[in-house]
Amino acid sequence: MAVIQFENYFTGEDNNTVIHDDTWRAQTFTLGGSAILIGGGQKSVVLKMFRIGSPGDITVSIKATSAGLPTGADLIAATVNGDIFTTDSGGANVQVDFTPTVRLEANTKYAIVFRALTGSGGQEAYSLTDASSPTYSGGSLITSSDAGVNWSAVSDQDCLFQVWGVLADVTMSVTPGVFNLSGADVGLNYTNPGATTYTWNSQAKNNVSTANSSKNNSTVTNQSKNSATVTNQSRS
Amino acid sequence: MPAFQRIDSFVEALAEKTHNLGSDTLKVALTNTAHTSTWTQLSDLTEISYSNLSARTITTSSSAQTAGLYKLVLADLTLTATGAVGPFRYVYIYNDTATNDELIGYYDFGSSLSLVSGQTFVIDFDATGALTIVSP
Repeated sequence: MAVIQFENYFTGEDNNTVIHDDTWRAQTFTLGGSAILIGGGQKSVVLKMFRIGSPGDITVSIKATSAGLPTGADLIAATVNGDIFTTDSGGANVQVDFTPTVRLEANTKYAIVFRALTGSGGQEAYSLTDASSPTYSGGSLITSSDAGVNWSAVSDQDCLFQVWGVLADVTMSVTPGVFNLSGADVGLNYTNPGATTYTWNSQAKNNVSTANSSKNNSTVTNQSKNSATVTNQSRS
Repeated sequence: MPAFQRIDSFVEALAEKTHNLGSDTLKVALTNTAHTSTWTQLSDLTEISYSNLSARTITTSSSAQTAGLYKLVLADLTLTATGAVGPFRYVYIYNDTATNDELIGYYDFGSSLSLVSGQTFVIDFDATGALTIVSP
């Protein structure tokens, strides 16, 4: 199933934030009104990054949040080779494809956490950010200098990022099926001894409403539910 | 919004006691094959594999009439995939209690759909009645 983009902030790049060894970074985001599935070996997260030196593998994961900050174990994680990132400080898109699948709930804040565990000063990766009145309202850049033990929000800065996945819930709202019992006349049939058939029709079953009605010179009397006695018959 | 599509034989089956919509077990069947008017029972369908799908039994919320208007109210049904499911496009309701699993009606999703593990497919029945029978 083709993935679609659910979160996107890829504008206003005018700054960057660094990762190496215990210097971790995260970008929080808040999903809209639909739960999604990300992963399954398909495009999941996109960041815009570059490198200085050889930072090694970059681990990117999704974590839940508490009070707006990353918390708990990774919900899902993958590594990308940071040593092949561009060295151009303008950065390039880095796509992360998570192999397992994880469900992210609607209207819930999550964190994209990225770190270069084998990096060091001078062997580091950078994520481009918007530090000039960023407009993404669902989260912000989050920083940690102790490998994710403690986190601090940088509310006036956002990483450039995208989150891709598929809708977790596909809803088919259906309309009722309506069956109409026919409103056509319900016939009362009578065959006289002379084999001449007369027919009276009433609009509603069980209701012969005409008192002393006549047709073809016949008179209906003694009406009762589901029956009518025909007298005074003659052929016209 | 997919509309209920009638199975022609349903009205006769209803009139001749094949269905007791108030007590019979109704289920959904999924297929990717377009309906043929001669189909009357489950065996006429080419169903998809349900090995990665949760139970397809529909809960009947109520079956009652008011002033001659009968309503069969069904609870929304959530089907959850535990692996790849589909593709399917047509969702049939059938009577699992009836002798031949007679069909009641179906919905056309409009395009083929496949589910991945963890994904859900929700059939959102009208809360005022998935099926009504109106007398004049």
